[in-house]
Amino acid sequence: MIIIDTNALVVLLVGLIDTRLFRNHKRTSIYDEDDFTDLLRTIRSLNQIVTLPNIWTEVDNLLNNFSGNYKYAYIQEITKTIKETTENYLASEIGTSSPHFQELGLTDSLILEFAKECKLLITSDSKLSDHAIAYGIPVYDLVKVKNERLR
Amino acid sequence: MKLKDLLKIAEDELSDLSTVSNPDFRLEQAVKTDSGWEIVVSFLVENPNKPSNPFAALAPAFQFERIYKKVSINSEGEVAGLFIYNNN
Repeated sequence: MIIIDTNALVVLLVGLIDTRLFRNHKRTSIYDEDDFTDLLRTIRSLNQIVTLPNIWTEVDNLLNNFSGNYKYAYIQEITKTIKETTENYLASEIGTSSPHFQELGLTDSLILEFAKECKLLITSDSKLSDHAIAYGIPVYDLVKVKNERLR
Repeated sequence: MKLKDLLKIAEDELSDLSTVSNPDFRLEQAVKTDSGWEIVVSFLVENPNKPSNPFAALAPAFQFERIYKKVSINSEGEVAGLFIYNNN
């Protein structure tokens, strides 16, 4: 099982629609086709991915403002990706009980909790990555990989 | 201007804000504007609230915390503004 966070899932979906869109969205603005290829290589198969309902809600809130042809492409890609991946439910109370809730918020607290059961956390959120690493959770950190490439 | 140039400009400008030996300075966002670039960077600082924070008994006492800053860079590659940035 691989859990993927909101920002990384936004990168995945935007890349699946059209990698040229990365520069148009602030959450994906530092990424390019090479980063997307590396992400796909890390995921290998969508059916390995596990998400939470909170993650999909955040993703849709961030991406549902596409217009024209991209709106249709977005609907197609998110529908297909939701179908091919697995969704697990974690009660919000687990998140609010987490010692990280104050710092990370509800969704990331739940991701951190669930990631302890997963073989990998894929994230594009540096703060979540810091916390996960502190717990010894294996992390593929898109921001870290990108910044290593920039140096 | 390339992303690596933006990262270098911000890192040079903000490096004094952290006393951590490896602040893990990162470019998080980079959006081109009419007058240059607006970027978001993050880096680690020592956690100043660790001993006195009323939630300290509940929260894990990490030695470092990551902070985010929004930086405006003009077309000449100069830092034109530095802003608080909330990552949530």
